Amino acid sequence: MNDVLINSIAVLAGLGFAVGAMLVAASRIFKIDSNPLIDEVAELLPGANCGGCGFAGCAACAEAIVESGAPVNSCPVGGFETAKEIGALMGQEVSESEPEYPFVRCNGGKSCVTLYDYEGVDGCKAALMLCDSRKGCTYGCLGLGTCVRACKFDALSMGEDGFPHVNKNLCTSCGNCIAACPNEILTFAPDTQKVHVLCRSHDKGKQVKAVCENGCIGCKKCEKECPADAIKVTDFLAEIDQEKCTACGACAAVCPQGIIEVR
Amino acid sequence: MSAIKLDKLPEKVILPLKQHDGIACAPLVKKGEEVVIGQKIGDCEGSDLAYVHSPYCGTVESVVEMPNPSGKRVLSVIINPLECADSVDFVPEKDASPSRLLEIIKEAGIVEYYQKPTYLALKPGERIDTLIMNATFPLIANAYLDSLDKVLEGFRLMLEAGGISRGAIVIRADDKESIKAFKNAKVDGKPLIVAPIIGKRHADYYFEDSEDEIIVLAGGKITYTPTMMNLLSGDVMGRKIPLGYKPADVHVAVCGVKSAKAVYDAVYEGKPYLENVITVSGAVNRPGSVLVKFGTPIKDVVEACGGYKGEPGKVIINGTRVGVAIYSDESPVAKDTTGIVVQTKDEVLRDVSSACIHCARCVDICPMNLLPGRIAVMADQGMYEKCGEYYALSCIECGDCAAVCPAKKHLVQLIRFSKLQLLEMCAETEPAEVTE
Repeated sequence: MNDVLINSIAVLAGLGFAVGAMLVAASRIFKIDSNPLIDEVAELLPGANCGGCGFAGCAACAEAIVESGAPVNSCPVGGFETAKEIGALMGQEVSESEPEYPFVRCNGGKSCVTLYDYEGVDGCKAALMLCDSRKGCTYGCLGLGTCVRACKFDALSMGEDGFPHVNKNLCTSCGNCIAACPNEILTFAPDTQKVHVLCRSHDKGKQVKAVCENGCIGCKKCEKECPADAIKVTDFLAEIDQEKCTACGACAAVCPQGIIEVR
Repeated sequence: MSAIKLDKLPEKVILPLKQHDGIACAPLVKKGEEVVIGQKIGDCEGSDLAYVHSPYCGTVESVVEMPNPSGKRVLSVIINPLECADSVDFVPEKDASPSRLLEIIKEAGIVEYYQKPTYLALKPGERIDTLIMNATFPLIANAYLDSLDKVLEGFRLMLEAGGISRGAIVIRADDKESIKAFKNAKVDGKPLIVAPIIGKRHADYYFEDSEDEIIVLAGGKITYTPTMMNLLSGDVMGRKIPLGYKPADVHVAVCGVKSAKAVYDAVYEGKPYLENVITVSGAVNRPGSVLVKFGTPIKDVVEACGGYKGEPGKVIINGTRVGVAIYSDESPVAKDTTGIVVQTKDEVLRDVSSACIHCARCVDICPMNLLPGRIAVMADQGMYEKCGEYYALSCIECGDCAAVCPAKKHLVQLIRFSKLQLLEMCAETEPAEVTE
């Protein structure tokens, strides 16, 4: 009886040692050299795998930073803090950049004519595929919330006025919402840029007035008023050159449609 | 039963410069210009084109973007029509060579019911041995029975133009009027063979026994809509089309009744493609088929049918299952319009879709043996490549899956969405062999 016990324990222990030794040998022989820096950088990244950097995930981003020379501030989510830490690891200096947030360039919403009720797959892209924009304006926000669903950080919410609202505390500037919008309503704008035109319509003034109360009619009043020569009306839409703009607010005061916003 | 004709001139005529699947035309007329019947107003260059001609005479009001029946805004010529019959000189060419025939068809701007220009449908590049005429829209087929000899002559001309040896006309087995008319019709002095498709007796079976160029087949009780080309050629020819292939790959071309009549008009009367028959059904006072000139607003077509019965809830173009509801009845009738359905407010279903319960009814009913529910889920999640792997592009958009779905999922729209995204991504999925 004892013999049986001792024998079986000895065989199993021997087998364990033998297999263990083989594994150790195999891991020595077939060792793959990986850069330990990649793992360290990956650990510093937020780990949300949002894809905001343009790579397949945080691990891919870390690999790109270490091996293919992607900038250390590639991760928009981590922001300056993360960039500084990665920079320290990589031996690079990082200068602080202004945080940018998505910003809605449409002021139509309820004041824009709704042509029909849309029933079907949720999402602006699917709605646009089926038919023209349900709004009278082909350039404006449809308000079906594709951008809200694209946000992985719950930073966007659809407001009562039919527009997405950005919660800057939660926003990580990953850019998913901007990529999701089929009408290119959303864009990045740093907080230092104070004056914005809240319209995207290139339609003629008469057409705009027929469908929307809050649309740019291309009257050029702002262009004439601007002391810094920073505003230009091209193709019936005012555009602001942010580098020249002094945020004096003269354009907003004369805009008959009230679509120039000074923050 | 002949088609209702519009007796009143519409207030204004909207002619979209793109009425087919291809390149949009550039306008040839300017604001204030006078146009006459048959004048070419849209010209384009390229390989996939259909010229636009004016079916009315009058003055051009403007050239602006207007909603067309598919719901999209398209650059259109707006004409204020006048009571006149001025037209360009129509030059008939009776004894044209096949290549000249094809040229005439192209010049006339004839478009098939499935949005392809006819000259391309007849000569797609592959070898074509059979031309199928889809006459399975009973109301439309019946409307053309008065001029059946012209339709048959047009069909013969199409065969000649495409260099195609045989033609099969497909009608519905329950369309008694058409069957009777075709039985009495004669081609080259010989009566037509009218035969049913039963079991393995497909078109080839009947062609073997006879020396006729054209035969008529009664195909069952299905109306083959524009997206059901593969099913139509498969059912008629008995040649199974693998997923991912088109009818031309099994040497079959498809045409419509309307285009056959249009070819006759183009060759024997020199007229371009100006009018066709569409069906008006649902909540109108006198439903039926109407002979409409292109560009006529839907409002006027409905008026010719006695107007709306009560307040309309929804006006759907090209069928209730797969058509698109229009938001304004000012939209015009275009070359690819086959029918108008009017629903009352009570008939309009407003279902909210819920979660899939995996009952697989969509899988059971799919005539193409696809997995509609699975494709729709992946389309919803943005996995378009995966949709392609599941042959989303082979979906014929018949709408059966969405009709049987107890969870009211928007299956057709999701699949159509994935198809569009796939085409956008230019993803060319490898067509796989189907073993039967």
